[in-house]
Amino acid sequence: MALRGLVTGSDNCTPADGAGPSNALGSLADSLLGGASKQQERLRELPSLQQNGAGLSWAGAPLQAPSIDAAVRAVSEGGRSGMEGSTALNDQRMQFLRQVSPELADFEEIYAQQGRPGTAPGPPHLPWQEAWRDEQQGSEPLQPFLRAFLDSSKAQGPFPALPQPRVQLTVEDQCRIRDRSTIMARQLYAERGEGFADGQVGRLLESLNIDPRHLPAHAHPHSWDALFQQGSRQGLGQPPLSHEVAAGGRMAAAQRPGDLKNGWAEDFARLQLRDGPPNQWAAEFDQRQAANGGWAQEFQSSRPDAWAHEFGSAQDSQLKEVWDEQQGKRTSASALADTKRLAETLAGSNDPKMKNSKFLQFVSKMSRGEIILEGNQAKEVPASVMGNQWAEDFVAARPSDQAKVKDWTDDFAARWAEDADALADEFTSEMGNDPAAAAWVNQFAEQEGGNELDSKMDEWIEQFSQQTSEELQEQQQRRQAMSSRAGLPTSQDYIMAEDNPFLEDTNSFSKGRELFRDGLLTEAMLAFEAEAQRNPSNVEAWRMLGTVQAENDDDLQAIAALGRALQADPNNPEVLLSLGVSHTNELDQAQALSYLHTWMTTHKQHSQAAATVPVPGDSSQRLSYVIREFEAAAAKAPQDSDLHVALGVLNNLARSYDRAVESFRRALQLRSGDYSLWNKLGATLANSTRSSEAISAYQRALELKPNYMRAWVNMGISQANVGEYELSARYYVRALSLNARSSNVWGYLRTSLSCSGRLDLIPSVDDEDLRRMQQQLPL
Amino acid sequence: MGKAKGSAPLFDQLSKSLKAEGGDLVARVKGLILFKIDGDEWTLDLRPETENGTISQGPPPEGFKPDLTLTINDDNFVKLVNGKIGPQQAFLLRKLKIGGSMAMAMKLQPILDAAAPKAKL
Repeated sequence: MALRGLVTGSDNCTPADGAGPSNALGSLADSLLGGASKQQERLRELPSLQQNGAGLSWAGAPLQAPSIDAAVRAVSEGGRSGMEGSTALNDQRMQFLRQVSPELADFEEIYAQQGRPGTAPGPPHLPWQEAWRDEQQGSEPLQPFLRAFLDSSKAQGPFPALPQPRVQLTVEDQCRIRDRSTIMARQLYAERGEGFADGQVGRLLESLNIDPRHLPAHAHPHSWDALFQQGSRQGLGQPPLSHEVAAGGRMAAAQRPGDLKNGWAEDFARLQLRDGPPNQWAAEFDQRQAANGGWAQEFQSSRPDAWAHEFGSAQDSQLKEVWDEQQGKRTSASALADTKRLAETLAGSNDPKMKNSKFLQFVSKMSRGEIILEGNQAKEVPASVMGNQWAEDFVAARPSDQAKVKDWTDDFAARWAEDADALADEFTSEMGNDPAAAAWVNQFAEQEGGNELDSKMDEWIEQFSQQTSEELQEQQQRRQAMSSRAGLPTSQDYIMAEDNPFLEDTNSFSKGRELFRDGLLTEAMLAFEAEAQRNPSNVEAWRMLGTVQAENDDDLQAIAALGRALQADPNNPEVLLSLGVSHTNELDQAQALSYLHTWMTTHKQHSQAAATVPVPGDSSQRLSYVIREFEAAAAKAPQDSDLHVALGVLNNLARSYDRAVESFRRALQLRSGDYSLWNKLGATLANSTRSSEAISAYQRALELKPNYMRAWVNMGISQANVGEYELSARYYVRALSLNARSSNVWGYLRTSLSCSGRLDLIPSVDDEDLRRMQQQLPL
Repeated sequence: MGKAKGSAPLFDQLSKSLKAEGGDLVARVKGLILFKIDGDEWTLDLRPETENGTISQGPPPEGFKPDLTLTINDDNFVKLVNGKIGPQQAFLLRKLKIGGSMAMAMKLQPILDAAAPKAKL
């Protein structure tokens, strides 16, 4: 039955390659609900059980599930069963029911699975069997409803109304349908919210004539919630779920031994006719149950082999023991209670941090019975502390180890590169808008001609670390030597393609523009490169080159090209803004801030509005300071979309994604045809875990610019985030066919293939065999 | 194992992410974590003295003991980072072995998130 398949049998994470028992959702459900089909199946596989039946009709394991079920039904339908007896006998039945009750729901499910194909149960001369068969048939008309429910989930539309069925469902069945469909709906419609899911269930129930108000409360509300939460991280409601569910249902049906029910019915009939007191049957049933509990416990300690052995040799005595103890504790029940308590804790928490680390809570609770949660304030380390630390490191490292000094020097070089920028910016804001001063500062930021800055730098060092010394100055000089060689990632030289066919073409710049407009990024790149090589002071060529590289998802090359553009024109606002974006993508906050700040202070219109914002004394406030600058400017000139773009970028840096989304949306109101803005909006949404919204933003970007490689890559990332691994692999392949040089994307493609179980294609990824990937994974 | 591993780009991303959110992770985790992935070792140093944390291939420097050791194969690590399996599942199914501080293992998810591919503006 598909619903059960969903709850226990097939979470959407089970790989198609069948690698290992990854059905954790199922096992959790099993442990929460008690005996489950999987355990029953394993029980059946154990040879000792097949032989150890003591001749009892139902003692053979294959018959166990129906036996229990029948017993339950016999009890609950005592009036019709023909098994009415003394009150003592009834008491015994009630005892069964209590014993069985935790597993009841599950056994019923199994039973329903087995009944669905509809072989008629055994000899029809017993009235209760007739009644039972009627009920089986009664459940048949349910199928179209449940199927329609599933179908509507595929379409993500509302559940269509169907004609009223002629079914009279028991309260129990109604409850079951309600509970199962609620779980399923929450899985399927995870993205549309619980309200929608509940609405779907409501419509299903309505069309089945079930009034939820008349039903008892959820049987295991906590377990459902726990299940749902467990599944929700990976199960973001993908359509393929329903396929798997259906497949699971078919499998379950196929696995059922065909004659099971008949055999059982006959056995049961024989048992009934026996002279032995019915009590005996009841007692033995209890034994089975208890043994089952013991087995579950053994299984939980995960020594199935040992258990099988033990069971084979000592089954009888064990049965007896357990029987003796049966009024006492049931260990498996207490284990269940433990797990349930855990699940309750998990379900009870609304804190997202808590959910994030739920696994660990779970484990921790198991081991120690308490939860430790750390607060999650973001503490920024002030620069002065960094400086002290660094100076101490240096002092400590210097005498002992030459190699360490080298490391430290590198470190220093890297850090200096950042802080020099920061310093340059502060300096800029002090100098006001004098263009000459600004140009000089920019030069400083570029680390060109450090010698003349020695005095300035000394001041900075004093202020920075308070531990200045002669040694530091020596190291400065060494650093400058190092940083030119070390190839810091942010100051990489632009790498030109070899064998550029445009090199001879003096008209390559305008051709490049044309190619870029036509969306031929790689060719445009070559044309611009040719122009930049011939004419290195052409700012536009370098800037376009930077843009092309960014659209080709190569921020390092973009930064290098834009850096060259900035050399030729230090205050070019477009270049500064693009540099801010690319450094943000490289998660290089200091550089990004420096460029955006320069953008602001050198801007003709906005610099005055920004100058009203007080400069903070502490460099840890720098990000919020630059944001305030742009906010002040945007308040004065709300029609300048660049300000909103910059604010969006800055808020990405600050990881205040909601604000960033708002800024990009505002920019899009002013420039709705700008594909790069749609991509920025999408990327922001994706990084704030709103991947499904991101996908539609990327779609918009790709409609406007089909060869926008970055958007294809981002699309792939978002599809992977929502669990569509194969689809995401297709997007990555598409991206790679635009720019196959991106090793990042090859890496992502590999991860998506391994998540979607397409391990056969991984060798082609290792070989970077694009043609084969395109054949195998067309979009 | 061969040259190409699914986990390599993820560790690249993690290293990059440390620049931006390393401080948060250090404040939260405060310890030395060793990943053992199909024979490769990666040391994630999130001790407070590292400021933004560092990730490097190879075992921890001599004299340092990891507070937490995570053993997992490459494929499952990829699935873990991509959210295809949760850490809880992976642990219960014995795909992920945890040695050392359980309390620190509780803080694994933000680290995994930091290693996941990021969309670019």
